[in-house]
Amino acid sequence: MKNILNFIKSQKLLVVFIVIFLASSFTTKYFFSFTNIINLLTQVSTYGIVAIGMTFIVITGEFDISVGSVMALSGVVVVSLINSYGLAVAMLALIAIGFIVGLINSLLVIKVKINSFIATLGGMIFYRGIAFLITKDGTPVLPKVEYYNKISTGTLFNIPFLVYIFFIIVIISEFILKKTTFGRNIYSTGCNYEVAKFAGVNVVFYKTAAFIICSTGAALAGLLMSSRLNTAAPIAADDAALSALSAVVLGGTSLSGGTGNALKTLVGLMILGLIVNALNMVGISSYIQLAIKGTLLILFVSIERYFQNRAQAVSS
Amino acid sequence: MAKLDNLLTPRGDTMCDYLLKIQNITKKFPGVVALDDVSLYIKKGEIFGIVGENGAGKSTLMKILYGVYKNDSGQIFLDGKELKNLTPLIAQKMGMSIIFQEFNLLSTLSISENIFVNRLSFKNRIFVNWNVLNKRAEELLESIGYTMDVKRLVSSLSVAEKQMVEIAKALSFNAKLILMDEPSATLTNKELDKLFKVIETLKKQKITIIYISHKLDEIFQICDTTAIFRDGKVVDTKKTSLFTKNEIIQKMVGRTVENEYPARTKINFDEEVLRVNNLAIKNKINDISFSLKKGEILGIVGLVGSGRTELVRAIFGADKKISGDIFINGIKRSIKSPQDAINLKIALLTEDRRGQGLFINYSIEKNISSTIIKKISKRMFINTKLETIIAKKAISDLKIKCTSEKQTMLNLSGGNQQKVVLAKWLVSEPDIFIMDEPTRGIDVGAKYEIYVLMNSLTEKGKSIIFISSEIQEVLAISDRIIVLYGGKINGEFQREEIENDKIMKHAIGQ
Ligand SMILES: Nc1ncnc2c1ncn2[C@@H]1O[C@H](COP(=O)(O)OP(=O)(O)OP(=O)(O)O)[C@@H](O)[C@H]1O
Ligand SMILES: [Mg+2]
Repeated sequence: MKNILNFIKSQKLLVVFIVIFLASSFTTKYFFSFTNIINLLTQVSTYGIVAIGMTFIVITGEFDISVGSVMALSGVVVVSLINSYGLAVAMLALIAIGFIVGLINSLLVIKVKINSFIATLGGMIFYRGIAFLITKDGTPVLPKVEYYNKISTGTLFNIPFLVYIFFIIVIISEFILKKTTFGRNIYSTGCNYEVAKFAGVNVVFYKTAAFIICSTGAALAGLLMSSRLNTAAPIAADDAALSALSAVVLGGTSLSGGTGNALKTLVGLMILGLIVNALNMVGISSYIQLAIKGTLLILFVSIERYFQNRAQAVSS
Repeated sequence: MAKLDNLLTPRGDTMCDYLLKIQNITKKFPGVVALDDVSLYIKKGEIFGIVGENGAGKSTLMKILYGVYKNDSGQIFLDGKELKNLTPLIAQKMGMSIIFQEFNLLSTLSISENIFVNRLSFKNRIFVNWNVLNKRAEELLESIGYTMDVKRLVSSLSVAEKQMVEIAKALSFNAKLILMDEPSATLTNKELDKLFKVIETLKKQKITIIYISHKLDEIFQICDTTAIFRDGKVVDTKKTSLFTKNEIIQKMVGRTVENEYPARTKINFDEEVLRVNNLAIKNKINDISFSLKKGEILGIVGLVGSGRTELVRAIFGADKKISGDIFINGIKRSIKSPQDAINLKIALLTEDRRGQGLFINYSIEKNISSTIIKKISKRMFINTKLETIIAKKAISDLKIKCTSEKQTMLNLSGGNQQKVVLAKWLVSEPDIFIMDEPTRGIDVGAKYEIYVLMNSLTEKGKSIIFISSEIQEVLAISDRIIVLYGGKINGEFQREEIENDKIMKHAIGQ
């Protein structure tokens, strides 16, 4: 009994997840259908990739709200290039976008010492502007090649590639963060910048790397999203940054840096995804959904914070 | 009731004289009993000393008195009134103030804002009268012998300066009971003298002070009564003058310490491992040149603000130099970052534990391995087993008191945190080990062991630069001493020339 209580205490979110999962199954008899579960996973996957990238940058104690614009930009650029030059050039462009955006963000934050919220807010406006420029009057670009749509929607054992790609990214990220020197140095940089610097960690490198990982993740998500929808719109993904940050925070990664991991973000994502899924099933309008999502986010984080404070008061 | 109280008090006085009665306080943390049935009776206007090993429970008691922690059992009476459900705010209102062992300052605010935090406007006025506030802050700091621009941000201060601000803050409350948890840990004799004068004045005003320190001379100098803590229990309390130093040490650590400092055998130093030529740092250091030999302990002495910390930070590549060359083993090197320095096998144990020394939210283990993370990794992957083994060894070598190597730093006592800082640099096996206040907050017994360790390092051919505000230890341990004054070298002394008075004279610029 005590063990069960302890488990609930230490894995509150997982428990919340399971409760919501079971509750959702009562909303409709279709919930447990294979199609619905796959649907759910497909829905969370694109923003999921963004959220995993965001996890890296949040661990270093910064954040990046330009990810949505980067997704849109990357989608538009990749589709345009694929139409005229083929996949290889498009992929190169994708990597270049991720790299350059990450580099600019980190330069602004580390060298010019602008707060990362402001620095990436600027980027958020700027990159979306470019995406509109490329498409001339804002009309979405359509891929002319057959296979493009298959990148996301092609299936293996009836599961879309997109879902595989997402889970591979989660696993690799978790591995990097937990097991490698690179991961440890990312944590150290966020845990205490000065201490890390004095211990010989190349803090500038790791912060820059985290920014690049985050924007490259967004660029890749941009490709996958445009592939899934078979269109690249410059207005796409305007809520990506906030959704990704919600998932990260809900998963328990603190915005002050030094804690968190990819699995936590996955749990955060799934909870948000489940809620949307359940609300859709019972037919609640998307505006009301927004309000409910916002409320639940604040509620979960407050409860988590309350338990944390109490744990600290008891143990310290 | 009065009779019962009489039985309870170990000193046989009548209870009404006591300002503070602490009765049967017990406090447990997961895996440790920090305080075990502690009772203390403290008179009004008394300076009450508390000594004890690292992790004996001193700070825990202070935090309970100030309402930061809740005691599991026991009672506290202030002026005869029982204190229940204490919080720091209530403690303040009841007339208490505290100097925490770990600084509690807001680094993005100014000195005066920090001193008067949450009391910025007086007499229920809405607007802050900055002139009055700054003036009062200046006066407070002057009273402890320190003149500084109170509009400066706390983040720009050295550790000793931060300590001064903490002291000024504690004084600003006009409290009747002041709890001082190692206020002297980074102060040099000059500042300490001032602090003691202030304490004497407070005593005349019948203000009661609890004074915690690992420097026993201080205890004998100012404390009327002293309590000795050991493993969470009070092992003895009596008038300080009835104790001898040896008795205190014996009761604290459970054995006698014959000498305070181990003997240092004189070796001939010839091989030069470090040479600094004409080093200058903007506004701090002016044209400093010196060398360090293999196997040598070079002491650097100087008052707060003399540039000792700035000097070693620059050598370590943490601060920008204006000019100057550094030679390691005869080869000119450009050290632009701590990373460069570490690659050249230089270590800098910084004076600011929280600022640059420890990942306070990490475990002990991760802190210790932070300097050798590359070494314990194979092709990018951290060998976590090796990490644990190294941490366990360091914990037992340095006798770090903890529940396991996975415990977070936040839960360690101050002195044990300091030992972890030492450990993390020791495992990096540096050739040149720069130690800025290595014994800060460390108890008498453990200090001796650190000196022994320094000796054995030099016997293995390592070299040490040793900085400490506690001049006696620098004098006792160093082979050679350079004295800094106003960012310049103002005297150099070989071991046989070392004399306290002579060195102090140079340190104050004569
Ligand atoms: N918040 C906490 N959680 C768990 N254990 C704690 C916590 N605070 C203190 N302890 C433990 O309680 C014991 C007493 O610690 P305390 O800080 O009171 O020691 P101290 O006498 O002040 O030592 P020092 O001289 O090193 O400052 C130590 O073993 C410490 O690890
Ligand atoms: Mg303490």
